[in-house]
Amino acid sequence: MPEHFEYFLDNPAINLRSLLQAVEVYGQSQLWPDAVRFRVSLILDELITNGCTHGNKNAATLNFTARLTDQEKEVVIELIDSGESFDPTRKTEAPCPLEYPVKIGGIGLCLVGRLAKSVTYARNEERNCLRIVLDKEFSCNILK
Amino acid sequence: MQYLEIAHPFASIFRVSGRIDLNSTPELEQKVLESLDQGRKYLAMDFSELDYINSAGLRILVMSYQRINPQGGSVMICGARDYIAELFEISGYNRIFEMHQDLSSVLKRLDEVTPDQDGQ
Repeated sequence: MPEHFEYFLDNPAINLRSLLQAVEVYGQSQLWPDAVRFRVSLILDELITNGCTHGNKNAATLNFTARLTDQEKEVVIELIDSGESFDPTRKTEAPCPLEYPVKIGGIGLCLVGRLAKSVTYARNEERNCLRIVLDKEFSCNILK
Repeated sequence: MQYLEIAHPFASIFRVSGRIDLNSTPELEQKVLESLDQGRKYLAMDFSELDYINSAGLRILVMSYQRINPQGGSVMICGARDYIAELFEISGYNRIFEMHQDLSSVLKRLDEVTPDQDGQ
């Protein structure tokens, strides 16, 4: 199976699920563990959902291109969209204080920022270009 | 997504399987909040058969927490696979929800909280 995956997504509010299903199939073909497939899907899900909800006044023409590159120890996710300029790397602060009331908004981008090894943003030719590097060996050492 | 509400005298307990995502969240949110509307202040979610959850799903849990925490209640999560439990860790929500290994642990915890003690 190829080490590269590319998917063009128009009408993301309706077709996001199809992208995530294709990512799941690709991840299985690359023999990714459950955790890696989950993290890649979650990152795409959160970023695309956020892009559809915010920073886009022209939803009818919004589209995304998702590219995955499978490397030995990392998965590189590239997500390019036609929406308004928006840099999610500026919005990854922890949204969860320890006491009531707990803030609800912002958790999606927080998760992306904390799951990723690195997130870089550029605005090129009126498109948002995100490059997310995910470490396959990432472990949080939890609930053992 | 499929869910089963498990009968309990004073807690809302749901076993959820499959995917909690943007499509399935509204239905689950409605069911959970309807159950809490009955005056219950403990919510337990059995995620042992859950494959996927995103921030929309986590939002249901936080909304529930905001509702029942001021009454002395709590949100309990059990059985989550490691990669899903990881989300609670990195978001910090594991510090406000009770994380349990399995449903029997949750039931044992609820046994320690009698309805009379809680004034229910």
